[in-house]
Amino acid sequence: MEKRSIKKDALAGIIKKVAGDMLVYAPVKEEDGVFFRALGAGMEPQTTYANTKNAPKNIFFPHTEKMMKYTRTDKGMEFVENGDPAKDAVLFGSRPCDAKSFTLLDLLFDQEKYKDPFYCDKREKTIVVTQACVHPPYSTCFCTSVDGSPTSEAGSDVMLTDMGDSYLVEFFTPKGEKLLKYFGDAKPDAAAEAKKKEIAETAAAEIVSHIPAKEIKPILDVNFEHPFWNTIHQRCLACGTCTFLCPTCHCFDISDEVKYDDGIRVRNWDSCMFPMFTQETSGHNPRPSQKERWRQRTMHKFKYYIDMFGAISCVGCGRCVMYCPVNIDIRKIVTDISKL
Amino acid sequence: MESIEKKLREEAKLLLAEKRVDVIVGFEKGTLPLVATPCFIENPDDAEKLVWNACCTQNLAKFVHDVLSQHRASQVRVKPEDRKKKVVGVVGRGCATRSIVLHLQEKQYDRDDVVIIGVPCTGYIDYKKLSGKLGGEEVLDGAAEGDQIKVKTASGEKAIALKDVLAASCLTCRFNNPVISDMMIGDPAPPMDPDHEYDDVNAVEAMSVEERWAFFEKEMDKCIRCYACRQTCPSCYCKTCFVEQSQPRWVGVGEDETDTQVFQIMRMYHMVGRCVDCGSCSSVCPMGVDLRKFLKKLDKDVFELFGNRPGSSLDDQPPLSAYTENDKENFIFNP
Amino acid sequence: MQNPYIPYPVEVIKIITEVETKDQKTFRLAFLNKQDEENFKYMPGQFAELSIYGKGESPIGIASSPTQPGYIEFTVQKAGVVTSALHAMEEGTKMGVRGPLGNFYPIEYLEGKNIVIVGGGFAFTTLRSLINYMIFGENRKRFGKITVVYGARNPGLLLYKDELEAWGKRDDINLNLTVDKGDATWKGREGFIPAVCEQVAPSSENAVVIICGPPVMIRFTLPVFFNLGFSKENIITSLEMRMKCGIGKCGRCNVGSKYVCKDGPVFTLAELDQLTKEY
Repeated sequence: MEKRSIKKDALAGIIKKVAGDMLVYAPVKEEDGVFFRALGAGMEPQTTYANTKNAPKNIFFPHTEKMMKYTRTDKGMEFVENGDPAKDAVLFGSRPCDAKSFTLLDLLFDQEKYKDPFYCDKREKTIVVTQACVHPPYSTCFCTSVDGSPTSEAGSDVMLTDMGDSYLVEFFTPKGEKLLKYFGDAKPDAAAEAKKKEIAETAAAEIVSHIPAKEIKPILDVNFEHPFWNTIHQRCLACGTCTFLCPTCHCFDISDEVKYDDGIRVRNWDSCMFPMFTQETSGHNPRPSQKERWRQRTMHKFKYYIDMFGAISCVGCGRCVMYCPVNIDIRKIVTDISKL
Repeated sequence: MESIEKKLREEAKLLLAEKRVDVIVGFEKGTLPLVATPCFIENPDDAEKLVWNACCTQNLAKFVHDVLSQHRASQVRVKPEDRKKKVVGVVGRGCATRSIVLHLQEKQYDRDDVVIIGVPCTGYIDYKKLSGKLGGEEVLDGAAEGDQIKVKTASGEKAIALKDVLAASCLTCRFNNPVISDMMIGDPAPPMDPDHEYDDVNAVEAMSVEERWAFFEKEMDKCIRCYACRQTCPSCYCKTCFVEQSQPRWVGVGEDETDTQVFQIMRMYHMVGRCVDCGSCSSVCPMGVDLRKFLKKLDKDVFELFGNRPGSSLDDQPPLSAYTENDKENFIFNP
Repeated sequence: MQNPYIPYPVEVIKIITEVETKDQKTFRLAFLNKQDEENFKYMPGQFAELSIYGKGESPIGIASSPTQPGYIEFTVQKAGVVTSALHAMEEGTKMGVRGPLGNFYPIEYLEGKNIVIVGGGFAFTTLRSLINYMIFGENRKRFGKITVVYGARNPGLLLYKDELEAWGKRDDINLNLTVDKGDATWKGREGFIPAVCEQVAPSSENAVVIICGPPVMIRFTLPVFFNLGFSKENIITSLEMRMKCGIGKCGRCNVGSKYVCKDGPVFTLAELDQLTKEY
């Protein structure tokens, strides 16, 4: 594995230099928090931040995405072209939890049969540069409970670790090595490896939220009808905050937009929290109330995804915990389930 | 505050024990520090969970409407003579009681479907402001004590004056005591600062058209269409929102900026004469969209045109459902 | 890489109004490109997403049989946005078809067995595909006895009337048509599907039932087949759900650990027992 060491104050300059050559997504400070944005002229990438408000999933799976274009003729519809092809890009500064979310989304979108070309195209062309959490940013972080860690390599091509006076830069994949030229020639010193290990251990130990996420699968297997499901949903607003900010939620809607004779088919994020999500034309709704929708969200993350792909569909970023307007806390739900 | 909480719990317990209500909608302590969350109490012993402090942000009238409409739906297939009545008790501060008045005026439920436990209100925390005061640091522990907020962060403990982090709606609230109630807990709260309620609006009105449009675009650009604003609003109770209608489809559901603007504008227009300035929509927004300024402008217009403050009195006619020959109509010619 | 979200262009070459209420029509579609027709290799029980200008897509079961080359057919009930637009279309219109999607009736398993097909009302479409597949030429020999029970509320609501007549004349199908209430011209059976199944009483010996219809019909018909000795492994049905992507991604038809669009829509009762009841 190639490794480099850079001065800490050099990082922002490197990000901007890369942005001169290709599309770069980086954390940018705005009025209401830090967000991943495509870095444009005059935008300052953040190198010290807790975590972004939005998960970076929208880089591979945009909130709104054009799938194809068509046109109306006097004979009906004619297809014009597919959606736009992806550009080579770099995602700078994802946290290890968010980087891990990409490996979970890959399981769904990158299957042998029915590969999702829109997701895969962008995923293949994007280099993920992660910034390790030397100190976990929030007390709500629980990555270590869901097979992650503040220094997890999963989903990252390159990882930056704050060593105090410098960044250790590790290139995990050949894709990541394409960025080598931007990081100079300085190799980390002999002590770096041991120091990184120490950082990994102290960072993991600093995580304060621990939940039995891996233990509840057998309980969920047999408790679909348990009265416990009556206890979560009453105050749920049925908004999409948890699912839209979640790095692993991936449900979508497909709809058509037309202007005069030109039409596009787009897919938009959808949410299992929305009553309309499963509403059928007949009036029948298989998940008629927020109770069933909460059961679905919990089951999908902590049971169904394991059944289908062998992994929990949660990376412990804590966004849903922090931003739920009515404080429905997935940590409490999981803990309560473990006591059923 | 503590004595209010104590009396509130006693009163709630009594109402449940005497079966005068089936459920009490109030607030309980949340899982995060300095956070309270709506709760639904059916067992008298659980009344102990109730809290009343500056962390109680939501307008609970939304849940009164939810519970009663769900109950009504559950009774549709029951023979009329076997139908059960459900009575909801609610911890009601000024804005929540105004919303209940609106619900009653709009014939959403009957007065005897709801028992209002009136509480005085000195305002709730705007978490965006609090975060600003803390330089973005996470709250690790905290308590709202009278006119102070005690907060612990990674860099130490701080005491912040409540008035410095109060929500904009609360700072200039004209109705911080219930407008209707079945019982009152504690003494009425001292007045806030209603004389300055339109300061924010006046500032926007003083902008040029271009500046106003830029402000509107900037705020709308933050919206991610999660609908938390609509979902928390007691006045947004349509069974199917125009956003979700499919025949015809009025507006796209994605990130397109004009779709987002149309959604927000149309929602606000449905709020004319129906917004009680509870601030819930701004409070729940995960993206920090400043919806309140726009809604407050509509509130100002309604007051100037019709002399009406929505939900302030059961005797009022909601302005857009009433007609008089003196109604102003100059807006038709002079928008 | 074939993009699974892009429909094949097709032309509506024939529209048949199936029922007297005129709200169920069969659309016969021909592929505009020969290659697409070859790529669209399907089996009875599969569905496709029909794509209409400006309206979007709707998942519809394929009503034709793969033994009928040159076109595919869909029988569509007018209900939502897309299906209403479809009903307003004329022959010669160009639209899109995306598929084939989902699994299909387990033909290999059915071979050598006696087949009982039970259909109620409008849900007969993919069963018709299966029947036409089984009785086509040499295919017929691969299956045992074929018993069909098909019913509708009244005679005017029976689909595929010409085909029903033709099947009735064959001696290798035991066709039992029924209506809830007949009219002046109806000379056939009157009665609900469960009762008719009880009268027809097909043997469960080496037999499989395939049943599609409204939930209430299925609920009352299943006990009849349990009494006749059919096991849950040998009762097959097809689920309807709200779907969008059709390829197990968008999450809408997720029921338990299955996606109805990808792992279904065809399930045995034994498989459905393993699923949560969210369909």
